[in-house]
Amino acid sequence: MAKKNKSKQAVVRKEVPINEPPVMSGAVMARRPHAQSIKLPMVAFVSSIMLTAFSFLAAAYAIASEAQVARWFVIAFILFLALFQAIIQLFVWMHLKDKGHGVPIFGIAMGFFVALTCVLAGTVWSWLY
Amino acid sequence: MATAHTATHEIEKATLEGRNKVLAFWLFLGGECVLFGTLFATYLTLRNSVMPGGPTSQQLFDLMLVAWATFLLLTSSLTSVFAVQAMHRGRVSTMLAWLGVTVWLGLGFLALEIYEFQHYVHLGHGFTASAFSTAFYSLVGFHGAHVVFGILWISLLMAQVARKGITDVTGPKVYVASLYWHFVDVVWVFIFTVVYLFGVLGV
Repeated sequence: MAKKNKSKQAVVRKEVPINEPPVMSGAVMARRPHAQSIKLPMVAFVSSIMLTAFSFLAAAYAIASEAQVARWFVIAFILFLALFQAIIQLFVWMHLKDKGHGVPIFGIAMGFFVALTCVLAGTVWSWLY
Repeated sequence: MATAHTATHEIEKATLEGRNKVLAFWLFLGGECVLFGTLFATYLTLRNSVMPGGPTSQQLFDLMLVAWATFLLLTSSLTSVFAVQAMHRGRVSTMLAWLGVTVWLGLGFLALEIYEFQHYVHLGHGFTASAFSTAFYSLVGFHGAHVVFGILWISLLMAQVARKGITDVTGPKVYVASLYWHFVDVVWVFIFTVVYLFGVLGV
């Protein structure tokens, strides 16, 4: 649908007020590209809360347990949880899962790649010297 | 499908300008990634450089405070999803209400952070106390500055939408502001992991 209107709407640039709630006939509802449900964002929210809780509990457990070996494992574990949570939020809340997000995914991936390079360079440098 | 109400769905993609705005904003977020990456790198390199007798991360950080701050920011990210969904349905007042909740939760996060920072300063953890403190305030403070900017931005957008309604000009602005707000939350996920949880673990 959006494609069909593309050329027309690109030329006609005027503000269309649409403050009225749309009248949804059955046909219009069925033709909506992907009806937005409240479910998936809520699943992402509950997942994020749980992943956060696991991270905090893992850290609290490691402090209580004293063992140094456990700490390195906990660090890897909470880093993985953080990355997982970030990916969930990027793809669900920020719509990267939706169609036509190839360039945004490329852009943010390149940003993350450079950021990770900086972080690795900094940490490896401080280990070596 | 050229009727007015079909435009209510994903209004941020209704014009070429709107689509370009969203695309360019993603490239900006890629740049923001790099910016925060350098601050994370600085922090990770200097986090153990504490002056003799100065407070360490293990003495300073309080997990309960961080947990509450995380909860507030995470919830505000969800409410901005609700705001965009209301916008896609063309419901102005619902959208404004959710944006208002988002701003209030952001203010709550900010209040916790301000309390936290002034508490640290009283414990001898000022900006110039050590390489650790400077790197800490640079990273966490820069994120806090992003929250401040987001609150101002969304508040101004609320005022504009209240006057103009959801149009193909204001729609992309709200969408892009919500992307920004989500990104600030994503950065916080790494801050609570790398700064606070690593900090209490003392690694």
